[in-house]
Amino acid sequence: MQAYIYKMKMKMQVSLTYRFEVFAVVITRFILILANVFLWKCVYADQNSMNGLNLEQMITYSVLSACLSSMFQCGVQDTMNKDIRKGDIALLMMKPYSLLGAYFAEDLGNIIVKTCNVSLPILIMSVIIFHVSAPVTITVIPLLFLSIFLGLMILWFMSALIGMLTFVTMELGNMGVLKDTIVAILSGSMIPLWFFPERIENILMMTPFPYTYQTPLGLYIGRISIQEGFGQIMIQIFWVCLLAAATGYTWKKVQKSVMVQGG
Amino acid sequence: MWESIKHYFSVFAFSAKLALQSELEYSSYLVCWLFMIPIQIFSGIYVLKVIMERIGTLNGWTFGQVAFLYGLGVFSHGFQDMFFIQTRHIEYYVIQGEFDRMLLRPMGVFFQFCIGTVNLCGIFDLVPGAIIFWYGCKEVGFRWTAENAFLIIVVIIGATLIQAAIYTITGSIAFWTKKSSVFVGVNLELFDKTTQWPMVIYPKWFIRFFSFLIPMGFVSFYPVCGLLGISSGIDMPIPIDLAIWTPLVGIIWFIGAKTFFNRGLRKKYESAGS
Amino acid sequence: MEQIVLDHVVKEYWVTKKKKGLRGALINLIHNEKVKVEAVKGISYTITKGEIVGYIGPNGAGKSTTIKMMSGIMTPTSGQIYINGMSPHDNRKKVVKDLGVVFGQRTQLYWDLRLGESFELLKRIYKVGDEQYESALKELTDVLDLAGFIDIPVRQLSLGQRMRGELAAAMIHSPDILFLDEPTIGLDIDAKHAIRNFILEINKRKDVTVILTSHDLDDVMKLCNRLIVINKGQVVEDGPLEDIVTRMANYRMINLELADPVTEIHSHMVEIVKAEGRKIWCKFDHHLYTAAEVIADIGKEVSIVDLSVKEPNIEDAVANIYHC
Repeated sequence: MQAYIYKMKMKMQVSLTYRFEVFAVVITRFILILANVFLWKCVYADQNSMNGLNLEQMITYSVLSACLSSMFQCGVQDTMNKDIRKGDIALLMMKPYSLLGAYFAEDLGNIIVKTCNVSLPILIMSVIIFHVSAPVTITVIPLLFLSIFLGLMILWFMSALIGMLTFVTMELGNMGVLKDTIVAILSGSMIPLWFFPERIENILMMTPFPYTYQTPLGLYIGRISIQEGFGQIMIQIFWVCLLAAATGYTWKKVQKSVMVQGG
Repeated sequence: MWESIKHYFSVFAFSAKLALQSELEYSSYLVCWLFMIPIQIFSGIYVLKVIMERIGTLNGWTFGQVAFLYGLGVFSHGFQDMFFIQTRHIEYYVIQGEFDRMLLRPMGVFFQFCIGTVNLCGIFDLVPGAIIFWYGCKEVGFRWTAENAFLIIVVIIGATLIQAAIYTITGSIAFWTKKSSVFVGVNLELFDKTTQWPMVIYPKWFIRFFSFLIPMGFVSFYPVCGLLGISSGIDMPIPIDLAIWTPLVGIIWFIGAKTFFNRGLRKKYESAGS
Repeated sequence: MEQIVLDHVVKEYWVTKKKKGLRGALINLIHNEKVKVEAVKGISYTITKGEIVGYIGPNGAGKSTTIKMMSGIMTPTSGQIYINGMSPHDNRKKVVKDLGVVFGQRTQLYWDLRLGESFELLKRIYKVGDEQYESALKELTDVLDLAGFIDIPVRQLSLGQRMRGELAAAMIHSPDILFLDEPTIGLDIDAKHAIRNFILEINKRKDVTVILTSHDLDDVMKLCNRLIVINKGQVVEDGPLEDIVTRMANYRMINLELADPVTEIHSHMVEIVKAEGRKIWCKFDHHLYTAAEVIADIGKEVSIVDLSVKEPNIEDAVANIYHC
């Protein structure tokens, strides 16, 4: 346990060292939120509501989506990619702690730092400058935390699986960037899936992607009622279990093959 | 003078050939970009389509016009990717001391820096961009007269120079602070938002800022206004909605970027290691 | 002819001092402490054409920094440098045209391409005429034995091959000055010999001035006629190699083969280093006694069958200099 805490602290320390970077990231993220808000203001210029959302909800959605994306740090896919390419993975597996656990601890450290350094400041700035509404009811808040946590775990396990995919696709480049692109579009982080044609929306709801961003965000702005929320959380749990099992299984196989071939 | 130009050109040509050869060695690596980039590009325009289906026009712009703008923006981005992607990695060059090698050669460092890379990934931007642009052309009924063709070409060149200039300027900060890669992500997103979305959706102060302080508007917004005869809504003593401004702005900013880069190199570059 | 002149060259720069631990990292977000490092504290020397100069010193003494300033990569904080009468800072392109530089730890070749391609690019950059290029290439290929690997990508070359390639690349444009920063680091004995021969050849044939930085004192012994020793940013010794070594090395070694095995020698002039059967190795302070005196003294005690006296050891000399 000590080892994991230490890893987390180390990652936090490294992240804090780049103070210049920290300030710059906050400002730049905020500028992007600004651009998005302007787009929505323009879109809503002649109408009050679209797909069940009014302007204020849309702005809230955009802002919080940006906050969430800063929080959902899944460095594991890039770290694993790097460790596998450089051949360090065999050595790392020999350490007396779970490597997967270590990756998670590092990401956790990063998440804490990013949440405090990036998500919080941009949230505060947005609240001051735009009309970001509070959560639709107080009772939604615990559900919110739960669904955010589950959304993170879904993304994390997906990232871990993609990271392990590097063993197979080493020649083809970092598949993680491809996955991130797809996630960004299909998770509702750019624009809620309720805007898409119904057929497409239905297909997407069968994948894990919408349950990462759209569930917590939808709950927050009230587009997803508490009833529906419970339902979606159940689906989230389902996906987490499935992906966790897949990750565990693949990891065992990876470990075996590394031990045999020596990475 | 002529000798000098011939010399620079022959070095550029050979260097580009070598850079391309290098890239081809690693061509399999490009597979992930082959999928990711077009997916991003097409989903970007799809999002706009979905939104515009409900509202008809975006502050007066039809979807065809938006597609024209979007395609052109993506296409110039692709050009920038192909020939000037190293301007996004100046921090790396500074920290690793990569400029040492260039300082030891009897040619300008900025010149060597610019010609050093040819990035095949740029093609994955050029093709989708061209497709969307072509679609936009058809929707707006764009006529390919000789004048228009000429303008499109110089606009693309100018847009590439503007982008290279901005990345170079923000990147050169690394000479002073050793850190500048943060700006790369910012620039990328800002360029996306100002070249792929019509800037009319932004308030006037935003448009002015990103035209006269940071010339992103000239990459695709103003030239498209000029080419399609749309008013940008910005009133200036001299008409600003002309495509021809783009190459001029590009050249001026590129020269400025080179000056700034050289300042950082001469004054502050400390090489790396012992 | 004065070719390279350094006049009170100083190089200082600022380094940020960081605090430790997580708490330190948080503090560093707001406030940074800067410390001044004086890498080079006023170095002056003059090198004439055709010299081969060994430029040595402990790690961190300022050698690489000086070489970088001389090649125009870094700018001195104060002081002047003149190469062929021009300042590398003000006239970089002109100065660099006549300069060849090899950094042992950094490559100047193009990693993914065949060695030959790098040469071709350099030919164009340095505006080397076709004829001149052909003859230079032929000569370099012969002397450095490049034919076997000139068509192999640089990243696949062994270290020895790569270093020979680097030297060739540095000489393609026939410069009259060559700076070598650790050129033999990590090389096997054959490769080292090849490189040493190369340096002697070009110095003899073309009067190329060579400044060599190396921790391998064998290199220095075999190549250099002059030695400049730098420590903590300042020149501590500058003169003909033999003089310095003779002066700074205290001891010389005598190897003796005796008629009968002996374990002790009573002469106060020598100190026994090793004794094995009938062979003895011992050292004497050559500032106090001559070799002849020492041999005579020992000869009083024991019967000498055979002996050899070694020159003062450059390693001892340099170690002494570093510790001054």
